Amino acid sequence: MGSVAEPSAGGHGPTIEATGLERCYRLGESRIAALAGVDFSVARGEMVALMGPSGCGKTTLLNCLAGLDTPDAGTVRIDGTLLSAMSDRERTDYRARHMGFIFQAFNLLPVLSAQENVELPLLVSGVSSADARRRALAVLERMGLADRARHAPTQLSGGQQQRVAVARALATEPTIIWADEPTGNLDSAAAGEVLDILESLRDDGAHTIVIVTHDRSVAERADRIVHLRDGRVEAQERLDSAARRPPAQLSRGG
Amino acid sequence: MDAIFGLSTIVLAIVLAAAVVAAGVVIIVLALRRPVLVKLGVRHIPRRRGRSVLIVVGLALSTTIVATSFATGDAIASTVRGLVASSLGRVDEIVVSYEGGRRRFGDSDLQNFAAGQIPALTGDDFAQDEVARVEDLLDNHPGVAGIAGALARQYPVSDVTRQTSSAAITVLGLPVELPEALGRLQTTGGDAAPIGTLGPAEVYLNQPAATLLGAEVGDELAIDGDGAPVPTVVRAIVAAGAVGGTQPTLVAELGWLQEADGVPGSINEILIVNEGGADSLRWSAPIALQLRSRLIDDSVAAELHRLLRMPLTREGLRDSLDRQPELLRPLLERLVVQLDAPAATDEFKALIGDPRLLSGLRPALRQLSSQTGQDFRPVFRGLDGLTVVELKQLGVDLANQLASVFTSVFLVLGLFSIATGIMLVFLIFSLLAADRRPELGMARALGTQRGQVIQLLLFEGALYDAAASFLGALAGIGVALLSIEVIAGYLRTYSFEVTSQVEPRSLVIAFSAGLLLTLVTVIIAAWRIARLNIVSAARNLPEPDGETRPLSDLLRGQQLRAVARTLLTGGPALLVAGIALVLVEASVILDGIGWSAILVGAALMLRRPMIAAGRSPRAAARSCTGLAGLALAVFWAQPLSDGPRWQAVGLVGSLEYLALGGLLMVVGGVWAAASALELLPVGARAFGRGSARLPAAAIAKLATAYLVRHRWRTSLAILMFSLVIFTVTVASVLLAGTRYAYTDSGVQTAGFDIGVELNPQLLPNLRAHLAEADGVAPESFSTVGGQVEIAVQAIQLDAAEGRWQSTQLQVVDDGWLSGIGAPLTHRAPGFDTDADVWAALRRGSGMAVVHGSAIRAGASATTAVDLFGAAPFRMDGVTREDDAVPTTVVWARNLDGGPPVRLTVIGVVDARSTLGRGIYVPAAALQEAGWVSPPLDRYYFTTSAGVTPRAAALGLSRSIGAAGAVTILDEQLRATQGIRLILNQLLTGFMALGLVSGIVALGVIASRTVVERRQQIGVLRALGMRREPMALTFLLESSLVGWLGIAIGMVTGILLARNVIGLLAGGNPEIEFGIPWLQLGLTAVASYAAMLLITVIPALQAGRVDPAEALRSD
Repeated sequence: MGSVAEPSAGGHGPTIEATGLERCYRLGESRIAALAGVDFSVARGEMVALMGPSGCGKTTLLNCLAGLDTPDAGTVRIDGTLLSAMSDRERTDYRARHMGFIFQAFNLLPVLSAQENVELPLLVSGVSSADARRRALAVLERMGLADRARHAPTQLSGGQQQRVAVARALATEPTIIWADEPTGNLDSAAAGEVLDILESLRDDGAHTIVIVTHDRSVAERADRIVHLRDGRVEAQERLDSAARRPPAQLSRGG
Repeated sequence: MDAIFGLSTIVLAIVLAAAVVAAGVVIIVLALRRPVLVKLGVRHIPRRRGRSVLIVVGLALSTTIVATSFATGDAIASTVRGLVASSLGRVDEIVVSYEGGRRRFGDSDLQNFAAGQIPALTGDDFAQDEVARVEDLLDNHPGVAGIAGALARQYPVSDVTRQTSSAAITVLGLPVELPEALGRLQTTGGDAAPIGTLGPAEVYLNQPAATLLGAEVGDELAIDGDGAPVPTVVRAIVAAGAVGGTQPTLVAELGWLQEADGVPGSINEILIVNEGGADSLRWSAPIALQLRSRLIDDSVAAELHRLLRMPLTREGLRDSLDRQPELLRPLLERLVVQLDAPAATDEFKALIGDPRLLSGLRPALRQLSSQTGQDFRPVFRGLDGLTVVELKQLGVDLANQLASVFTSVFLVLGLFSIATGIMLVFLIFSLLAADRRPELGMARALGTQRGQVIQLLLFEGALYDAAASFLGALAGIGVALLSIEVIAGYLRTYSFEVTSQVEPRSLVIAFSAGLLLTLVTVIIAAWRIARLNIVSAARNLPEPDGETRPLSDLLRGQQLRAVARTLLTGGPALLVAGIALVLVEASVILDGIGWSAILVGAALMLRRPMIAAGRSPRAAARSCTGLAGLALAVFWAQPLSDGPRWQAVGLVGSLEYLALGGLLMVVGGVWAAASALELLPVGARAFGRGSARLPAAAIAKLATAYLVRHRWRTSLAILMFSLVIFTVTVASVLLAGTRYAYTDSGVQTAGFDIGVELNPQLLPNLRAHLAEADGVAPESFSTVGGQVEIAVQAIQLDAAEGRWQSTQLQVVDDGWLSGIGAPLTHRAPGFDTDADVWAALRRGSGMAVVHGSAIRAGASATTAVDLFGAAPFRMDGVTREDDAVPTTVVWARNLDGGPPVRLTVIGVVDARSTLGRGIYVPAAALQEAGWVSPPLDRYYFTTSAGVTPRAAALGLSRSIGAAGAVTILDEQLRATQGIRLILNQLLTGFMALGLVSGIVALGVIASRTVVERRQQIGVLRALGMRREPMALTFLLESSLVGWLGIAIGMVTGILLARNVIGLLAGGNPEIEFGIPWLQLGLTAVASYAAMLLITVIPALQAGRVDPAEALRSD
């Protein structure tokens, strides 16, 4: 484990900044605090892993940061813009332009082919069909899936499906990528491939990446690990490149 | 109503109720054994009130349809029964006389009678002594409570005191010694009003007559009989409903009326009242049997028995059975049985003495006589004289039959809606189960048996079911009563009282049928749901591939898919089976099914060649199924042919064939569309560009992709919707056809205002009489036309099948020809206008025109035939669709012999005109040919400007007196056809109930879709899809289903309606096929709007799905 460090990295200044985030859920009569005052920030081009046991609030934090969920208290600023000041429509458009999502269960639409799945966020943001097709193919090619473009998700392996999901997340060339347990459903080889892709994206310097995981070996591929427990940031550790786990040592996520 | 589809309603009610009780007992026993399952089953009901209400409403629809059908039938039955009872009082049978081959008691009399008219008014007078003879013949029959002779007339009556008058009041003469059983006349104050207390020239006036004339006790009345007006005084106003019934009636002492009318010692009816009070009808048949068998002369009966036993008549009679009217058929069936006996039995004598049978037998025998050269006239004469009419029984039969017809029609048309309703119930339960899947999975994991899961679902379903059936039955009755109220409002203007009463057995049937139908569907659904995969259900994951997916098998179409696979590989088997069926020629329906199998089989066999030619197996399969569906639809869209085979099938058989065809047409259409769903995404590509606000390409791509992916669910939804649109379309087009036939009164009455049916023996020359008589000025009329109908045979020598066939000659005078306003639909070459044609007829030289019914129109399966199966004359060489008629020579001959007359047909009168069928020929033309034509007995009048038909009719009525019956043609038409049109409207409204099923079904599917796709919605929202486009995607998906359903339903509906009208036009040439574009357009728009309205809620829900929450349901 590396040393605990402050979040700022490389003088870029923070692009994502959350302060005092609280989020409660009602479960029958009782209230459960999923987030109980989280302060957290990510610098541009940084790759951060959110770690913690089940139910510690990782996914809730990611949802609040991405504007999918609204915190009960606290603020989220992305590049200085206050998310809570945006309307649902503005947040939606912001996601379409600046964010990409990768989920544990891939969440590809089963009725569309791989290529159509990748086209979808482009079409949603109003890109023309022809343009969307061209750009989707280009991203798929980058993912090594050009020959699988016409296949339905069910005809692809788990790793291929997740690479399609990554392609979908990248299609609109977003600056932020949210990955919620991206390797959770993959074997170690496939997980390694996906993490390699994420790492190379981070190395481009153009993407800020937040990964939710409870797998230490996955988290160790990030620049920094933020440990959550009971809805609070318990600890943070910065990993220098030496501490980062090499791809070969990855274990299967669960 | 006693029977439906030939089943006794009492038996049906008992069986259904017993089944409901049995089901209830089983459910209660199960519930008591495991109360915890009941608790688990029903606990969701109060929690989700809104959804529970929706479910109950959805489930109630089928019951509503059944209940509406029965309640409408009941109301019609009780109305007709009420009319019969009120127009007869306690009289059960009536003896009347039809002398000298004058008008017979027929269907039209029955209709008149159902409207409250006394049959004696169309019969002849006979000696009062006949009462004693009838008493003798009845020979102290234990069923007879009382007998009385009476004289009934219909005369104009004026109230001299009030200066009011009425053209038609029944004047009834009753004997002083009125049997107790006939009931007592009572004043409106409740005092007895015996006939014996009437002084000379005193009368009782019943309440309706008093209201009509504004008369009061002591008023001086004048009865405008045949001679001078007879003055009388109103002794008292008597209550309606006893003797004399509810029609406006004036009651006088018989002897006085006979003197005043100049017919001393004559009566025209003998009233018979049965023993047994309310149960009196059970005596009707034995009394009628005894009286009829004794009234008919043995030698006449023996001769007729011999004639009817001849192979020609016997076979003809047997073969024509299917094509005879409902009311006549049972009598004929009994007659055919009696012909097996070597000699005339009492039953045979009673049958041939039945006026209903005689009305058909007489013209058919005349026709046969002329065909065979045998003289049947002595037999006819023997059949003349007194005859018994079981009036009350007939009325009740008529009521039941009408009710049964209505209920059957409603139910048959409702079947499509009920089918949709059942699919809806299934859908609703799949939806319910989808929500509870994890819970059910957990229950199974914890050791709950599959059977117990079924029970758990059953308890919930049974509760919904009971509530829905109760609600549905109530709603159905409400709908029916409301519609009856609409008709009643209209009928009251014709003083026709409608009573709406729903019989308990109908309620029981509707409730039980609805309940059982739903329960069975629920059990099947529960059984399939219980076969869930425990692990995936508990984790709410999709059912694994390769296993059965009980949850939504129907939606996902696993079984259907298996059927489709079998079909695809079974093309040759289908082809062979089809060929075998066609070769057997068992029935037209099996033939049709055979041809369908051949077409579908052949289409499916194209798969291999297509694959060989380089198409992918999947594309080849789709092309084949598409082709098969299309072939099926095209095959059943064909109109019926005009072959002899169809004539043997008859109307009912043909309609059954067409109904099945309609269903298969829809199925074929949907099948073809389902196979071509891939075209939708291709079309979606046309949406090249959009914006974040409206990403058209994304919306189109998503909406179409889901439809293609869930092909079976899509097909099921399209099928449900197109079925209901189909029924509404068929109803609309049929109604438009009848509206065309029955709303242009100018065409129907041929431009005349007043009609008079005259007894020429009493008044041989109407024109001369009118010139002299009081009451009406000759200048009130601009034209007066005379007409008489002669039964003849006609032949067209150049026709393909030139043979003598029966028809009528409508012999018309010069006045008729100059006043006729009926348009001609066809004219011969050289005649530029209708006037030219009529002028040519007036010039003579054997010119004639035929009625539209005498030319071919559509399939002739419904051509009316006589009792021996002989079809009427039809002209060859011209059809209804032609623009002109070739000048055609037709020969006509009198049934009683005489020289044939040569007629040149130069026009066709619009089939909608009601002045008579057959051939119209000027009287002069017949005289030239040496015919002695009978005296004119029908007259038509056109009133002069400034004279109202009503005033002129009153004057005519006064002047003609008992020699004829005057009707205002337009009013008569409105009364009968207005009812027909209103009933048609009701039917359309009823069809709309089915539409509700279809629309609710689409709503349920839409909300189910949203529930299923929650997580995918979350992904799309995360990817940046706004709420509105999200909702639009769902709306577009539902809309595509709606549009396809509307298109398929409308096209197939129009095609079926065209074929049905083609069929009906054989017997009712006035009905014509036309597409009511506006109405259909409105239906399409309204049903689409309703569909949007119901799917917009789930669509908006989709837009409101919280992405974080939806993704968490992962």
